[in-house]
Amino acid sequence: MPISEILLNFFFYLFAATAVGGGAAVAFSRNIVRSAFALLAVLFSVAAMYAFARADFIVAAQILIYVGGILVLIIFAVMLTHKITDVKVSNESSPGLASACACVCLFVLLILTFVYAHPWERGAKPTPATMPAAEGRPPLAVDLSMTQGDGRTGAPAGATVLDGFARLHVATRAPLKGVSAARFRIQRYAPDASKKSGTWKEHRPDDPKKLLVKVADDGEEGRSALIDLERLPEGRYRWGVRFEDEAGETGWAEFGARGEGLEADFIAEKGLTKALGRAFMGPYLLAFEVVSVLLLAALVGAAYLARKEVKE
Amino acid sequence: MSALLLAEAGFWDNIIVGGDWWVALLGIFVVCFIIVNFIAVYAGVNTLLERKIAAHMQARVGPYQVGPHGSLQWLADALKLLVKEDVIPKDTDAFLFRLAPYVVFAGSFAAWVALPFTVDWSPAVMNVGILYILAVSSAVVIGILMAGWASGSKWALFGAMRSAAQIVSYEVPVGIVLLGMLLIYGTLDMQEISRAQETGGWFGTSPDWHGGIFSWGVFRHPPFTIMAFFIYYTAGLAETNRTPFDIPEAESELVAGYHTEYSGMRFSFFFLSEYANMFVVSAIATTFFLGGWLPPFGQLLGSTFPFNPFLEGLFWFMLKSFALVILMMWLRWTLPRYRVDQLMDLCWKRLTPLAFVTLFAIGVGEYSSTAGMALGAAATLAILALLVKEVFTAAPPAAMDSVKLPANPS
Repeated sequence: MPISEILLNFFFYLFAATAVGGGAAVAFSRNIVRSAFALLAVLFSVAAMYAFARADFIVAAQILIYVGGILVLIIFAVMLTHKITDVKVSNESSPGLASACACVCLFVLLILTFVYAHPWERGAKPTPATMPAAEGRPPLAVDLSMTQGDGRTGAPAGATVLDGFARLHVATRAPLKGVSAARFRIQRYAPDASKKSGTWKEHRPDDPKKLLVKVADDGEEGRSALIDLERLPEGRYRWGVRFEDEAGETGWAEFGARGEGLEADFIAEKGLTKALGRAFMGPYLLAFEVVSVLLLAALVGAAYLARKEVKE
Repeated sequence: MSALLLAEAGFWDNIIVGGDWWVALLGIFVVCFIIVNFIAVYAGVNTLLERKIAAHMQARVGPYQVGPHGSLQWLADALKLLVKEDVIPKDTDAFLFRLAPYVVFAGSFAAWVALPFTVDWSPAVMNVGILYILAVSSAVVIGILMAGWASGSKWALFGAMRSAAQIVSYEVPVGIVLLGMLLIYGTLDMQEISRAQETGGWFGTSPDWHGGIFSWGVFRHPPFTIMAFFIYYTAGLAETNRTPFDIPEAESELVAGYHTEYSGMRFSFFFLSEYANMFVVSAIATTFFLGGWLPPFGQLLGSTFPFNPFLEGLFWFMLKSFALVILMMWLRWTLPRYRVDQLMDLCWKRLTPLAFVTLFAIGVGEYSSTAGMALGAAATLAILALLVKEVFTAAPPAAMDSVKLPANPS
């Protein structure tokens, strides 16, 4: 595993641990003010997780809404609660069995919804592909991946690409002898009239030479090639790659192991907001709505605290 | 040089798809090192500047003992704060008490990495720039509440509650005003916002005209953008808890507000944070209204940046931002403090409705420049009429000698 990946994993698990640890502190702290402040760690860690998915806008929205709005409100409410250090107004005073049942049921329901009821798109992981054996060379494993053009905007790489500009990246897992160039092959999905199915058609850019790129030697990592795609029309694309030696013949690494390609939606619209709107109201509508159960839980909790206050 | 590497698009790919990971880490470290030290030195020099400005406005000389004309006073102050005993009072929640200064400082420090310091260079490249700055600044509120509660003192708690209420309230006009300006620029990226002010005329006319100062955001939809600038600056002043909006730390009522119980280095973190926030507010005002890193005279010298874009951009950005910071100090020693009710009245009954007016008018002007001009002309006439009425009908201020002073008891 390259050091960069170890670093990435280290920070990812660091934030994951902070999120879980903060959550535990929220649930088990005997002091309700400390519970409220522990929520800060949870919310920031979750924002960091969004940053790993390259969803800048969601990171900012998460912190702005949850930290700047909801958490401040919660802390205000908690601080104005009578006798804040009184153990009676902490989490441990809630009826154990009933709330445990409700929480477990809700949790299982959420997990089932997320895992089974939603067709998840492929994330930023490289798609493995194989290249058939050629003369004097065994079959090769190849990783295909895609970064968004500016390498920093929005959605996970390989899912939605904004602005019709993307960078295709291919790397072999073993050194490749005698290979001089890579030729990318791009197909565009053409839906039929009913839009329920369609066929993949070869996409030819204005200048076919653009698809042929020199291969860079990355040392231990094998060989890799990059190509920038500009101004592709809106639509769904997939792509494969072919390495060439001096004689011009090596073989294709075709569209992923399962015969699918590394697919990407190109949205020829500048900015992230419109794409986000489409994503929320389109493929992610169910997930988006299910998450709002969280807000309902927060409201119920606040009402519970307030009711207890009136009784005293 | 490592810092400059950060400006390249796709820099993070070094980490994401493999590459020189140590360059990435070194770059991050160098940039953070520069910013933290810049904040420290800038805040130190500003304390001296503030005391000198205050002194000269009150016909005093100010600090005069350390260094020529007291110019090294800030180093002595820093040394004193560093070696002072770190007192943690008995009734505090010690863990949160220790944590709070770091949360406050982290909130204001994190905002710096998205500021567009010069042409095509920000410490971190991000396309949601302004949204990110507004978001991370909210950690300051949490930190202040934490400090106030953990101190276990009624002054600190009152100060923290006032401060949080004030910051949350004044975020409303700030957000609406910036939303209006975003209608003009159509992007959240701070670099793009700066660049968008290089060309363009008022009310969306002549988009290719290099108008210099007249292409800046503040003159795009007069008088609404000018109003927006004043609203933003006023509300920003309130968000930094400075006079005339410093009721969270009003000495006559609350001792020192949320940092009453703090001493030594922990106290100075609040101090650094306040000065860092002043700069962030001024830098946002510069970027949104005053052309960011653009020079004021357009292409009169042949091109926008005739010599060195990096250094020239840095010069103009710093000049404008520091001018606004010094204006804040000037205001501090000019205006008296508001009362709590006056403060909320100003925010919710004056600034917020006016902010909605600017948002509406800028939207109309971006949709149709003719309608925008009509609205602008009508508003200008209305403002002039109000001014004339104010000048000719307001009662003259009472002369000093007509005020009845109580008789001297002696």
